[in-house]
Amino acid sequence: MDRLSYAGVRLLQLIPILLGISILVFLLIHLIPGDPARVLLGPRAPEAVVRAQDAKWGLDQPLLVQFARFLGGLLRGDLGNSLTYGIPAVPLIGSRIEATVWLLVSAAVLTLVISIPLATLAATHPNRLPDHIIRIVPLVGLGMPAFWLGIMLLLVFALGTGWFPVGGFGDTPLDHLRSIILPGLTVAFGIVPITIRSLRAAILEVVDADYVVTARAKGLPESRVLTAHVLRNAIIPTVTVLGLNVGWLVGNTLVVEKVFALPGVGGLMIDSILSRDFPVVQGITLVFAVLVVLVSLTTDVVRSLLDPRMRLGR
Amino acid sequence: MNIQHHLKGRPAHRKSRSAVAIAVLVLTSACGGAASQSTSASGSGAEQPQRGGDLRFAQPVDVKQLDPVAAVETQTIWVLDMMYETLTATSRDGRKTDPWLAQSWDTSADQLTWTFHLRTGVKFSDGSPMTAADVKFSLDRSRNFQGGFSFIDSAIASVDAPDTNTVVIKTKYPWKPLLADLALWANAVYPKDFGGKSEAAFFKSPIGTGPFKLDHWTPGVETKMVRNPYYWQPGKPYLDSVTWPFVPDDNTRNLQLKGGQIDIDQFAPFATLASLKSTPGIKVQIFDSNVVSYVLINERVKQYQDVHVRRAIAYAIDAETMAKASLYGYGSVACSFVAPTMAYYDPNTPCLKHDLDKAKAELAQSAYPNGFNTRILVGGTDVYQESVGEIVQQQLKPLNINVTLQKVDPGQLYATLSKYDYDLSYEAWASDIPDPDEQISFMCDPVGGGAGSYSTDYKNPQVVEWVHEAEKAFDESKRAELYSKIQAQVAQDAPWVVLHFIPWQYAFSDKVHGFFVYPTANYHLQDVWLSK
Repeated sequence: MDRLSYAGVRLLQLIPILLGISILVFLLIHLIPGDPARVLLGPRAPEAVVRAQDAKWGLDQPLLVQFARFLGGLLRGDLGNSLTYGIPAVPLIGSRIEATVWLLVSAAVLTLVISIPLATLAATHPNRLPDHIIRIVPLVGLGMPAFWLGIMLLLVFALGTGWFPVGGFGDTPLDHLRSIILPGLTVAFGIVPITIRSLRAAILEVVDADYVVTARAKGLPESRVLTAHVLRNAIIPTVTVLGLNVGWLVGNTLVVEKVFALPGVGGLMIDSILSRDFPVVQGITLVFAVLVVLVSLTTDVVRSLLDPRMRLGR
Repeated sequence: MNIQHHLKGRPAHRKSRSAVAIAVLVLTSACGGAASQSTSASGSGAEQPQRGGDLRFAQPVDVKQLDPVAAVETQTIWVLDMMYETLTATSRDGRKTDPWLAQSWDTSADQLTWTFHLRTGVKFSDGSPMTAADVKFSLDRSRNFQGGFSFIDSAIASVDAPDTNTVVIKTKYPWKPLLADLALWANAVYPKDFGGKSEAAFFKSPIGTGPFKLDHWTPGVETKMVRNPYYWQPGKPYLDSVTWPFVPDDNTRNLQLKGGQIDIDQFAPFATLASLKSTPGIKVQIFDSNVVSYVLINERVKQYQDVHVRRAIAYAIDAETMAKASLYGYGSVACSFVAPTMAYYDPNTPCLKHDLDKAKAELAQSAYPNGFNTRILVGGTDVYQESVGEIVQQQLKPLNINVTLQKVDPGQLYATLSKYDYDLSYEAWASDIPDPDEQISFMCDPVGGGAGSYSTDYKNPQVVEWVHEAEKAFDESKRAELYSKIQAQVAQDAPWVVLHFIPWQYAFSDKVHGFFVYPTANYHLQDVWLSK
């Protein structure tokens, strides 16, 4: 199957996935106790006014009717209005996706930028001091909570040096780039220890392969051997590891978004759950699902680009 | 306003309150009406204000909407206050109203008709004049709104605009709190018929007579307003613009202030104030508020119908120790359920001060002398509320009252409270108007107040009668006497345990001048300027 049709099939598979997730989320969010009208109107509003608000939102209807309405709206690309902000949920969520995507991409890129040279260094000096340091030190990253690490990075690299803004997302793409590096690093620090280990192991496996010996024997410079023959093959399992981790992170960007005051979907998701803003919660869950599928799809496509022997869809 | 969200936004009230502030609170109480001295405006008054600059005012809670009648969340309200204005405004000491869009008013002999004379030359931020017709339209919309704070206008029978500069408000019965009610943000003035737009279109880019006009509102990011060139106060505002970035993390706001990325940090946690104070270029200020915190007691629970049980709990809870442990001393121990910054606060209220022997004696007189099991409702995401819950748990143990924590998330808190599905509950209250009626009718009149006496179901017919008498009394000394009687009786009935008076705390750059927070929590940024 060529890559395009593979991507097409995977995207088509999204439809039943999204439908299943919508049903599940719809049921879960409606089953947990809580009352969005009461949250919105405050404790002082008389019960009758709260019930009137419910009727206005259609929350007084049977669950099945509400779900049918939700599905109908979904097909038209309309999730209804956010109960908290009173504005349509689709553009509200849409305005928050950019920061989250920037965060995920920067985290993935920074993970590779950090992991590849370090893992290569470790693998080319197996069981020597650099290898030991590189294998042990990044493990600290796994133990550091993101909110603490984020604050430390802000303290040192934003407040201390002035190179980066202290949180926020800025207005221009250049602002975004400056704003996203520290949050990206915070996320990357949680993945780097895993990718370094995986990449180091893969390099060690490949480094003695026959084709590498051949490359060396025909007189290729060591740097070319390393990049074109060793890394090209060794990185494939790491891409899978990275893809899995980033996919998992999609739903876990909340802490980083909060610390860095990034207007992403993670923060909106939590606020919406706490205020029982049903349309927004449902919308964001769908966005998360799409992002996870897209990350996994990208991982597969990248792997097939790196390894033409790999057959997609098998 | 109920400030559950607001306190949640700052896991804060925890460190030691300065001796000066406590002294001032005591002084305020002793003077029984003097304005607090601890909260003078920041910056030296002698300096000449400078024009220009963008004030960056970071808030821990996002602005949720732009319609004043529907706004119930505090951070939204204070921001909208900079765009819309009301006929009257809360005075600096929080005890009375000042003329604002209305320059003066007269009351008829039967006290049923109020005639307001509007300030002349007031314009909306698009340059069109504000007239009595706009006021009538806005007030009619506010009082007929379903939800929000429309209850505050329930005494109003009609609003008329006999000419462009006069507004006549008729009340259903003599109603003393009217001037204070009109200072509520929900009674703000905007153009009649939304300036010809639909309601939805208007509130996408609303206009008012306030010192600033909306530039943009980006949910989850920031709200920005720029100077209203038609503002009626000559020379004001000094600032070119104000931006309220939404920065939910306390530590991030702290670092942003230190890094000069923001100018004002709203509700810097008490625990961080000492370090902020010693940072060059940063000032910390504690402003007197009218916030009072309580442990509510649900009288629909059979044990709590017994006044001796409620009194036993009030005696058993040691607010002093609690203030040290959970507020780090920043809150002062309260006695009356009304704050010292509120009009008619009675410093001599005979309250049930902590005394374990009296607590045991009260419980012995009750129908439950051997104790019982009960719950305390706390917001499960709020560390501060949880610590209060745990302290109550400890402090009721000697009475053999076993307390379990009933943790719910914020989406459930109000619903749980209003359905009376709780036994004890931590709550904090802040009044929105400079008159005790909003709070006292809400907390003591289960029917008229509309919320079952803060969902405690407390009903003392004598107190309810005084509440209504005070609403209708135009004689100051008569009102003062009634409110003193109410405060004393409520203290004895113990429908809740009064805990602390909690101030507003702000940290800001020393370039910010003239910043002042009113006891009702709002601020007037038209008076603020930035030094270069």
